[in-house]
Amino acid sequence: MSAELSIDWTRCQGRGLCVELLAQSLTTDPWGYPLPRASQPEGRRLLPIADAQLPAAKEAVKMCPVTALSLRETDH
Amino acid sequence: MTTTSIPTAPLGTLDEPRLLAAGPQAQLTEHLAAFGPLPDASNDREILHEWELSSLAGRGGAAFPTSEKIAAVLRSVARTGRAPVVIGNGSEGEPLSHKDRMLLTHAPHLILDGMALVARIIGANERFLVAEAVDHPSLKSAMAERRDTSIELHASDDHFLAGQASAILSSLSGGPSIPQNLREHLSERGLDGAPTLLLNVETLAHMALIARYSARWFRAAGTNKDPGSRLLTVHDQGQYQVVEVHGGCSLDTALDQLGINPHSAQAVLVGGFHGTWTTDLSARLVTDITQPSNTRSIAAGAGVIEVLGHGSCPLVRTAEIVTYLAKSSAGQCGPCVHGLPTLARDMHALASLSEDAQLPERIARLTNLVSGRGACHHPDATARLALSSLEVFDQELQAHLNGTCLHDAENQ
Repeated sequence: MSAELSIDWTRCQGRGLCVELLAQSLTTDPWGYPLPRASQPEGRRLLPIADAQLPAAKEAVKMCPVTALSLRETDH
Repeated sequence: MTTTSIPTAPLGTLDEPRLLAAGPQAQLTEHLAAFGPLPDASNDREILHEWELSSLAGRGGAAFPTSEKIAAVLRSVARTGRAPVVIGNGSEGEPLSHKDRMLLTHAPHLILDGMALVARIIGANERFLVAEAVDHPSLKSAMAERRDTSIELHASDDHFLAGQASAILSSLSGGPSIPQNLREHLSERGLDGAPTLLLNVETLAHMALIARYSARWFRAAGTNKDPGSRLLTVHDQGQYQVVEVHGGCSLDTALDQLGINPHSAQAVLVGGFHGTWTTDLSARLVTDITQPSNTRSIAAGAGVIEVLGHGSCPLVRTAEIVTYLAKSSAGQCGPCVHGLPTLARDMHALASLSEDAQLPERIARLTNLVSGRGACHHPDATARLALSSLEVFDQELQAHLNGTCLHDAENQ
C-alpha cells in the first residue's frame, strides 16, 4: 500500500508544516510554498509517498492549518 | 480522402464549408434546408457508434477524444445511478479566439442540435449552454424558434480563465468564474456532484453533422491521423478571419489560401496565448502531437493562429503576452501569483535589451518552478509559451543579450 499526496493550491498559503514533516520529499520555493524535491513538472500534481513516510504524511494532512493537503492511498 | 499512402497535396481550407453550410446567421428554415432534420431516437445507438468511429477530438483546446469523454460519463452514470449533466462551452476567454462566437452567431442551431442529441443519448435532463452575454441574442432567437426550453443559457464572465472547465462549474454553482481545485474528473463528479459532460460548442456542432452524415463523411476531410475539419481564427496585421480547414492542414497552404503570403511571416504563434511559436511554416496543424508522424506537426489547440511579420520583434510580442497572462491569474495559487509576474518582468527585461546574461537561465528556472503547481494549467501554459520563445528565437535572444534587436525599433 502506498499513497499520493495532493496539494490544493487554491488553499495553500505556504505555512510550511508539510515541508518540515516531509523534508525528504519537499522543500520550499523562493516564495515559501512547498516544492517536491525530485519531480519534473509533469509528475508534480500528485506527490508519491513511500510507506516509511506515510505516518508523517498523515500528520501533515492533519496539521495543515489551511487544510490544503489530502492523501489518497493507492493499491500498488 | 487520404486513406492511401499515396502522397497527396498539402491540405488547407475546405472547398465547401461544413459548419457554415447553412449560410450566415442561419435561422431554423435555412438550417433545416441545408442539413435536414435531426435523426430520431431510434438511431441513438448508431449515432454513439458513429461518434466513436469519427475519432472526433474536442475543439476547445485540450483535444480529448469526444467518444471517450462520453463513455466515461456513461460509466459513471451506470455506477452512481445519477442523471448526468450536459454543458456546452462557448465562452472563449482567449482574447485572440473568435471561432466559438462566430459559430454561436451563425450556426446556433447546429450547436443546439449537438446538445439535444448528446443529452438525449446519455439521458441528461439538465442542460446548460455557457456563452458570453453578447452572444445571447442569436442563441435566444434560435431557441425561441425551436420552442426549446430544455437548455438553460448561462452568461460567462469576460476574462481569460472564465472558459476553463472548473471555472464554468463554479460559475454555474453560483460561485466566482475562476478555476477550482477538482479532485475528481468532471465525468465522476461535476456539477452538484453529478456526472458531467462538458463539450466545446464547435465539438457539439461537429457531433450534429456526424450524427446526420456518418463518421465516414466526417473523415473524408482531414487526414487519417487528424480527421475532419476545424475552425481557425487567423490573425495577421491587426485583422482576423475565422476559417474552416482540414485536420492536419499545412500552415503555409492555409495562410496562402487566406491571402496571407507565407513569406511575409517571420513566425507564427499557434494555439493563442497558451500556445507555442513556430518558424516552420510547412508544419501541419494537428490534434495530437504525440502521434508519430513523418512530417513536422504542431498542436492546433483551440485553433488560434497569429502571424508575426518581419518588422516585429518576437521577444517583445512574447513579453506583452506573458504580461497579459500574469495579470490574468485568478490570484489563488501561490506559485502562479508570485511566479508569473516575476516571469513577466524578466521577459520584459529581455525584450527591452537589458543585457543581463543571467536572464535566460532565470527564465528557464522560473518556468520550471511554476509548472504543475496550480489548480489549473494557466502557469504551465504561460511557462511553455515563454520557453518556446527562447527556443525558437535563439538569434534574437543572443542579439538582445548583446544590446541589439534584429528587428527595427519602429514597430515596437
